[in-house]
Amino acid sequence: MMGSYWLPDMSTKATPRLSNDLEAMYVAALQDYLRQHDESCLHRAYELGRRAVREGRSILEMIELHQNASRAFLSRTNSLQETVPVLEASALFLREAISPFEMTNRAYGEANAALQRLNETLEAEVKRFAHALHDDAGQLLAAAHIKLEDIARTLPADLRERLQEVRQVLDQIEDQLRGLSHELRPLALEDQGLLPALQILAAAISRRTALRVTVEATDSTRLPGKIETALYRVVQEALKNSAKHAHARVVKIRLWREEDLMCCSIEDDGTGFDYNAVSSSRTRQGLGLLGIQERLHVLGGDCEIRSAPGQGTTLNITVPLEQ
Amino acid sequence: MPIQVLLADDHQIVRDGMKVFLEREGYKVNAEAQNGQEAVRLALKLQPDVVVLDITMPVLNGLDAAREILHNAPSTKAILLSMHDESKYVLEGLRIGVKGFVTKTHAGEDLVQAIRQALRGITYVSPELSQAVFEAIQTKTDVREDPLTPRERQILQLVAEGKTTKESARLLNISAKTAETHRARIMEKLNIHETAGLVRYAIRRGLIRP
Repeated sequence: MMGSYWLPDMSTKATPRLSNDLEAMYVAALQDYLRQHDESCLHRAYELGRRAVREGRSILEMIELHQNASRAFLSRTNSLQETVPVLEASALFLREAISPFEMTNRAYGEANAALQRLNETLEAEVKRFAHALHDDAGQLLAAAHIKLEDIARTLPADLRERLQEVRQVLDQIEDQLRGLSHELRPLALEDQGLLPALQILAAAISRRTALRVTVEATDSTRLPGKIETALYRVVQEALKNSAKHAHARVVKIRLWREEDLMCCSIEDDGTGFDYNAVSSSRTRQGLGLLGIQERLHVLGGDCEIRSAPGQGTTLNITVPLEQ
Repeated sequence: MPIQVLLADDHQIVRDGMKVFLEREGYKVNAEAQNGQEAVRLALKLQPDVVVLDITMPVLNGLDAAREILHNAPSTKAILLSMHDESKYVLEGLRIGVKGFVTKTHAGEDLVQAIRQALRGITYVSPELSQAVFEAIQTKTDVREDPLTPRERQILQLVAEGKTTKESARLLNISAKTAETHRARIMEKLNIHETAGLVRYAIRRGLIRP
């Protein structure tokens, strides 16, 4: 059992790494704990840890802070007999102070797992939609065509021509449904891999819109399905942003590999934007960027966004291949 | 005696439309099938002059149904219905002796045209599909023939549709052990050793829709 020790007041000494405030409060709480052994002091340690997490401190900073604080107390002890209990108590105090980091870490892992499950569910839903859009609706359109042809036979030439116009509209509907279905469910992705799928996407967008999309790659080996899907969706979202918000004319997509990292850059010549303003907004564009980040974080990847008004936008994406 | 036609499509609404159209043209639709296997059975039993098969059908797809019908009843004229993005199967169809390819959205006038030509021994391809056929010939992107027997291909389609070995065996009237042997042979021939790989292969070959 530990007793109470005389301990000097350390709270005036500050380390430059952390705010004086947090540091001072930590030293004071540790000091109180070593003197009184009161559980309420442990609770203060826990609260300080939570505050550190909130302020975005790293766990290493926290341990350094603890080392600085406890070193001072330990230097005042004179014998092993005095030192051991102080060591034990301060270790207990540290454990309390860093437990919020552990919880955050756990919650992060759980949130990541939940996000990953959500992504998988969404992909399955998307598959269903694509099927319904193209196949089921396609059959109904075919039936409508056949019936119209049947009606046309009984009609005079001028009316038949007008019916033909209706069939042209049906053809356009079918074209659009097919395009949408392919965008939702890129068959080439599963079948041929990321690069061919991106090339098809680029060609389709270049054909359909004024946007010119090029794809360059130095590596076309197949990647794990999760990574291929994520990168494909991210590029898709980025292209949407380039077309809709940035009014870009040219987008360059590059894919390459750096050891165990898959890298992808997406560069447009659009209007650009103020990253801080947009990323914190709940606009479609802001949410789109957030979605990109989240998709990559789930895989341990990251996306660096460089943009400024009038300067175009570049996304630099990295995903570790070892999952 | 009117020309006898068998219609095979898994969508009744499409079959109904075609039937009305063809009967008004003087053809007799003497049987309808909802999948390829049923189509094969009815075609061999009723010996119609023409069979009209949708490419994408459950249990047995239209292309393989045509293969089996033409193998056992070579005088039958087979015509395949294709969606726009199924044009890649046209070359394979031509190779096995299919006489007509019609886009499903033009399965009225175009189908009548195709049947008329087929009965005269002429192959007809809808204009929407012919462009894709020329492109396929030019770029030679045609998938090479797979090494499977018709029976193995059907087992593969059933596996890809998610049927168990037992269910597949029951559908084909063979023992579970035989079905299992087929499955093992398929894996060995294709050098694919997991079901996901078989499904991907089946999609690529057009045995099932993804």
